[in-house]
Amino acid sequence: MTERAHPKNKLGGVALSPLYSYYLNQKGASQSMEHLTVQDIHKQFGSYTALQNISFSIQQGEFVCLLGPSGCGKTTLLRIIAGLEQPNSGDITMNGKAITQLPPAKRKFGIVFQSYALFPNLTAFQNVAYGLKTKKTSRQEMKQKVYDTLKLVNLEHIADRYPSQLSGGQQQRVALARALALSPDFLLLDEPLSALDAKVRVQLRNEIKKLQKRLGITTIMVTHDQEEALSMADQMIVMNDAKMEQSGTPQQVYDQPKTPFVSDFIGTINFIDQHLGVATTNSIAIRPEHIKVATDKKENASPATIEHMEFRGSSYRLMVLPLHQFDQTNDQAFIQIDLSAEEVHQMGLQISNKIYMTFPEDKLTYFGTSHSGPKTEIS
Amino acid sequence: MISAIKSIVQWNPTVPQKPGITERVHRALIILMMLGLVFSMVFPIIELLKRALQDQSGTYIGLDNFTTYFTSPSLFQSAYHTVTIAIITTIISVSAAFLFAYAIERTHMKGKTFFTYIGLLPLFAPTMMYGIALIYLLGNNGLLTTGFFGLTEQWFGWEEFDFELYGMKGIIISEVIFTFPQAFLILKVALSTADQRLYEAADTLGASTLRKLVTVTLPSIKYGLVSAFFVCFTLSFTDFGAPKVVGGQYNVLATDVYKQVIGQQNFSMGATVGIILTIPAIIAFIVDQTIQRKQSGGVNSRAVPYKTPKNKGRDRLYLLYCSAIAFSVLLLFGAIAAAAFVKVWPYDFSLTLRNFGFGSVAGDGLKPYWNSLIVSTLTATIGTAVIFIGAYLTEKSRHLKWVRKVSYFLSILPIALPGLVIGLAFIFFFNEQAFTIPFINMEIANPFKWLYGSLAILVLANIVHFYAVAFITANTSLKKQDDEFESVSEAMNVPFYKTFSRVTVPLSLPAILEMAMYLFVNSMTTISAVVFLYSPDWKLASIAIVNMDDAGDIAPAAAMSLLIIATNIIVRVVYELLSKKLMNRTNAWKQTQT
Repeated sequence: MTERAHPKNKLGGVALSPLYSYYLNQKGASQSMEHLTVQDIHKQFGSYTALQNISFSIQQGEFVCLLGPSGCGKTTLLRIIAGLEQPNSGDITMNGKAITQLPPAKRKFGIVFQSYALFPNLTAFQNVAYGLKTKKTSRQEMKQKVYDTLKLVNLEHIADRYPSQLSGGQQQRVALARALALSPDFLLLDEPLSALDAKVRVQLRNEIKKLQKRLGITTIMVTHDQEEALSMADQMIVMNDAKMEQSGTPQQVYDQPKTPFVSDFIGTINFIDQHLGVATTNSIAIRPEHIKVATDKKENASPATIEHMEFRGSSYRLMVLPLHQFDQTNDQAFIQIDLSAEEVHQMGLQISNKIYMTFPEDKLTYFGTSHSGPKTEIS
Repeated sequence: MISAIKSIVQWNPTVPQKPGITERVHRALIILMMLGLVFSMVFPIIELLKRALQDQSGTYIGLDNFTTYFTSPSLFQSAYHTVTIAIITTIISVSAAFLFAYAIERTHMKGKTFFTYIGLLPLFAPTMMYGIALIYLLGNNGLLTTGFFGLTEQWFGWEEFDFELYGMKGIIISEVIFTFPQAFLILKVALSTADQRLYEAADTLGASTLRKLVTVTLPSIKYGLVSAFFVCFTLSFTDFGAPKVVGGQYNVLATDVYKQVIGQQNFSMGATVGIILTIPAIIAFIVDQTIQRKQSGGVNSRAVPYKTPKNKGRDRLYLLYCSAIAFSVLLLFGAIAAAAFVKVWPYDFSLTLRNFGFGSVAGDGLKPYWNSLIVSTLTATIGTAVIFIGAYLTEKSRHLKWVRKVSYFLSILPIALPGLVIGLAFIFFFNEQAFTIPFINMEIANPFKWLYGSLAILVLANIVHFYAVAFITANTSLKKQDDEFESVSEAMNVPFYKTFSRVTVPLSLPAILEMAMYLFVNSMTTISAVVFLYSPDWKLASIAIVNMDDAGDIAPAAAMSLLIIATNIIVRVVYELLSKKLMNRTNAWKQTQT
C-alpha cells in the first residue's frame, strides 16, 4: 500500500479508547510539573568524551528535540536517559524521583530506533503485542489494546503482515505503535525518520507531532535534521562536540543563536565582520534572507558580484563575492543571499552581475564580546 | 584481547544500575560462560605449557625440552619434514582450488552443482581414508602401480612400478585432498563477490586479460587467498591421520607427539612438540585477525554483480580441468568402496559384506561406529546449544563488557589449537589428581577427574576442538540481527530469554542447523583430539580405523571409513532438506528483506 495523508478529521473521528483517556488524564493532572530532569551528565568512552556537563529539564507533555551533527553525543544522551548506557556521573530524575540507577525495564519509556528494530519473524500485531504479554492482562484485553494502538497510527488493516511486507513509513508507524502500546511515561525517538523518503518523512513528521499532542506524551527525539527539529519541537537542545550549545524554542534558537555554531547549524548564516570593517572573525552574522540587495549604487552599500545562482522554486539563493575582499582564498568569503524569484526577475539578476548589499542593523547577530565595531558603516 | 585489556586499563566507573532478577540471571550466565571457557580451555592449556617446562619426573627445567628437541637430529628432522609437507601441500592445494573455484564462479561451464559437491566430498571423510584409498591405488598391490593387475603389461607392455607411496609422496597427496575443499570453499566465497564496474573500467582502459587478473581479480580476493593459504598450511602441518597411515618412516610432528606420548610415555616431550605444532596456527590466527580488521569495505552496496563474459574455449578448458579433479576424487572414493566390498584385494574380487562385520579386529564389531554416532550426536546437540548461547551472550548483551571481550577472544582461540594439542592438554588437566592454588599453596582435589575416560570428555574435547568455527557461524548470524532488538525488549520489560527464544533463535535457525551439521560431520571424522582421550569402552570409529590399519586389516578399515562417509553424506542430505523446508516456512517474512 502506498503512503497516504489522512484527512484531519479522520484522526478526530476515531472514538476515544481507554488509551487516549489515559494520556489525556495524565496530561491534565501534572501539566506544569518538571517531568524529566537531566543533571550534569558526563560520559566517557575510553579516552573519548561523549558527553560533558549536560543539564536540562523537560515539562510534562513537551516535545523536545536533541539536535546536532553526527558524533555530537545526542544518541548517547538518549541511550543514557533510556538506561541502555550508564553515565560516568550525573543524575536523571523523573517526576522528582531519581532513576539513574534503574535498569531500562523499570523506567517506563517507549522507544523507536532509526532501524525500527521490528522483529522480522513476527507480524505487525505480534510486534505491538510483544511487551503486553508479560503483563497480567486477559487475552481479550490485550487484543483490544493492540488494535486500539494500531488504530492510533491508522494501521489496523495491516495487523497480520510481516514487517518486510510493509512500506518504510508503515514499519515506522508499527514501531511507534509498539512503543506506545505499554502506555509509557515518556517516548524516546532516535532519528525515527531518517531512513525514509523525503515525502514520507514530511508527512510522518506531521502525523507523529499530531499524535504526540493528542496523547500529551512527553517525547524526546534525536535528530540531525534541523528542519525536522524546527518543525516538530516545542523545545530544542542543540548539541555539538559532547556539549550543549543552546536550548530554547525553535524560534528563539533560530532568531537568537547564542554561538556561531548554532547559527551556522540551524539554517544558514553569513559572517560579515570583514565587510563591516571589523577586525574580528565570526562575531557578526546575518541570515541570507535578511540581506537587502539593489542593482544601483547606494551609500554604505557593499558592492559584490554574483558568482552563482541556485534556483529553488519560489526563491533563489545567490552566492556573491564581495568586491572588497580581504582574503580571496577563503571559501567562507562567499556571502549567501536568499531572494524571492519575483525580486530576482524584477531586478533581472544574472550570474556575474554587480549588486549592492546592505545589512539591516536590527537583523544582525553578535557573538562574543567584540561587537563594538564602527557601526556607522551599517546602513 | 588488546581492546579488552585497554578497556580495563582505561577504567571509567559508571553509575551502576540496580539489576532486577532477569539482569542478575543474564550476568550470571555471562560469567558462567567465561568460567566454562576458562576451565575447558585456558586451564588445560596452562597445564600443557607447564608440562613442557618440566622433565619427566615433574621438576622444572625451563626451556631444556625445547633445547633437547632442536638439538636431537631425529626429532628436529620431523620438524623439517612437516614444514616441507605443509609448503608443498599448500602450493598445490591453493592453486588447484583456485582454478576449481574460478571455474565454478567465473565461467559458464556446465555441471557446476555437480562439481561443487564433488569438491566438497572430501570433507566427509577422515584423513586416514585418503591414505587407505591411496594404498589401494598406488600401494604395493595398488590398482595403478600394478598396471591394473598386469592388464596394461599384457596389452601395452607397461610394467609394474613402485610409486614409493609410503612417506612424503603419500602424505602430500592425502593432505592435498584433505585441504582442497577448505581452500575451495574460501576461494569460492572470495570469487563470488566481484564488482563488474571494475572490470568495465579495466576494459575501457584497454587492459589485457593478464593485466585484469593481476590488477582487478587478484587484489579483490587477496584476503581469501591469504586465508586459504594459512588454512591449508595449518591443516597439513597438524594433521595426524594421513601420516599415521601412509607416513611410513617419514616422521612428522603430529606423529611424533603421538609416539612420545603413547609409545614412550614421555609426556613432557609430547607437550613440547605439541607447542611447536601450534606455532603456525598461532601465526595464522594473528594474521587472520589483523586482516579481518582491514577487510571492511571491500565490495560495497553499490557494486554491480559480475557478469561472466562468454568464452566457449575457456569453458571447455575448465570443464576438462574440473572433470579431471572430479575423476581423481571419485577414483579415491571408488577405491575405498571397492576395498570395502572386495573379498581379498587383489586376488579375489568377489563381493562380500564380510569386512563390515569387523569381527576379526580385536572383537570390537560395530561398537566403535555406534560410539561415534553417540559422541557426534551429543557433540552436535550440546555443542550447538552451548556455542550458540555463548555467542548470543557475547554479542547481544550490554552487561559485563570486558568479560564478554575476553570470552570472545577465548571463543575464537580454538581455531589456533590443533586437535592433538587439545587432547594432550585435556590429559594433563583432567587426569591431574589435585591442583595447587598459586600463592596460597593450598591443594584441592581435581573436581573434574571423573570426566577422564568417560564419554563426556570426548564430547567436551570435540566441542572445544570445533568451538571457533561454529562460534563464528553463530556470531555472523547474530551480527546480522539488529542490536536494538535487545534494547527494545528491555524497554518493554520483556526478559532477555523470551526475546532469545521468540526472535533470536528463529532468526538464526539456518546458522544453528549449519553449526549442528558441522559439529556432527567433524566429530565423525576427527581423530586428533580424541586419540589421547578415548577409553576401551568408548573407542570411536576413527580410532578403530587407525587400529585396524596398524594391525594390517586394511579392508575393514576401508569399510569403516565408508560407513563414516555414508553417515556424513546422509546427515548432509538431511541438513539440505531441513534448510530448504526452513527457507519455505520463513519465506513470508524474508521476502523483500535486503
